[in-house]
Amino acid sequence: MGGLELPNPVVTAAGCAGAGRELAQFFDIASLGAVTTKSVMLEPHAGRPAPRMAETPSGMLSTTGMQGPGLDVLLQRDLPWLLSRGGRAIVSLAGAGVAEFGELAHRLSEAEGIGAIEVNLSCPDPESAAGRTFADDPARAGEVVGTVRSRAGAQLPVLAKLAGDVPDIVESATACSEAGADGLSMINTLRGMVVDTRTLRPAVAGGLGGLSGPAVRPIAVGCVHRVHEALPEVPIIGMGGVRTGEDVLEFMAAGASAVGVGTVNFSDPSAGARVLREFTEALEERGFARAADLVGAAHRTGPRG
Amino acid sequence: MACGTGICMTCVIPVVGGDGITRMVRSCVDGPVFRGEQVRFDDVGSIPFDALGAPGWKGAAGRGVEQDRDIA
Repeated sequence: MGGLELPNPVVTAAGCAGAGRELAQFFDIASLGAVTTKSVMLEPHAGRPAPRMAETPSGMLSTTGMQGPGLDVLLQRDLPWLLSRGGRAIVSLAGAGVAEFGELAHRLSEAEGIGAIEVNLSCPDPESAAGRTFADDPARAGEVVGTVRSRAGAQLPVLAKLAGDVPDIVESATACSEAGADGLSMINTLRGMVVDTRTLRPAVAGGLGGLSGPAVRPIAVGCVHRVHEALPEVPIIGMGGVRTGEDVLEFMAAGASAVGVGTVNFSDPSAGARVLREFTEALEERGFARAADLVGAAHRTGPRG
Repeated sequence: MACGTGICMTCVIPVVGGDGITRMVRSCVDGPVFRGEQVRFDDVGSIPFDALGAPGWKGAAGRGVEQDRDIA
């Protein structure tokens, strides 16, 4: 994965596993490829008011507003804990501006034991009057990634987390790759809304939320397929509605080198271990010796493997 | 709430800690039972201005010690 070595391709998706501590009550988190920690900002953030989530058909709509304890707590408490349990860490970072992303990358580079950093580009761009996120504008996304790449240590792989609800995900991916991203994670939640028909008001505070869960999976698989086709050399962590080992197979065939398990953790806290087991069995059933042989299989022509 | 295990961050309510600082804590794992006088019932469903990480929290942190005496 662009300089990041994982023992297996199943990782947790950012914001769906904390820093691994809660899920460790249910299975050995060191068995996963990596734990992607919830997006961290420099300072503590209280997040959005409740209600923060609503159920949707085959998914959920949520908005926590980046609640978190800030970088110091991650570095002093959460990250050492994860590493002490033998876990591998991909640290997701979120900035209120380009400078904060750069500062986070710099500070994280001084910490020991981080496998990679993932740049959450679905943060509001303070320079956009229209309320766009960095991910909405390939040029701004590239600017953030370029800043992170230049401030992060040369040995620390940088992954760019892309949004699926953009006009052209290949353009986003290309901009981030050219700006120095070592790999791409896709997709983030899709912006959506649920209106409570009793109150005739949005069901979550702030109105819009991020849609996740199996409802988004075909969109995510499509994004991975398109980007892998355009940029076959760029490693991808695919995510979006993964629920079973077969879903991992699907993402990898579309072109992902690793796959994130997200929303399913909320309803099945053992999902990480289960999905990995199911994936391993599915791989064996199909006669693949290595998971890497599966990457991009859906792009090949001729008889099916 | 979505998970009940402490990872989704959707069940948060404002609770005053022993240090006098209000935090948005997870009712599923930081509770579900709290000391009633530490729950800011009137602020449930909002983010109090002085909660940790809210716009006014740095000013509130300076008063933490005094508030701690009141609560204890």
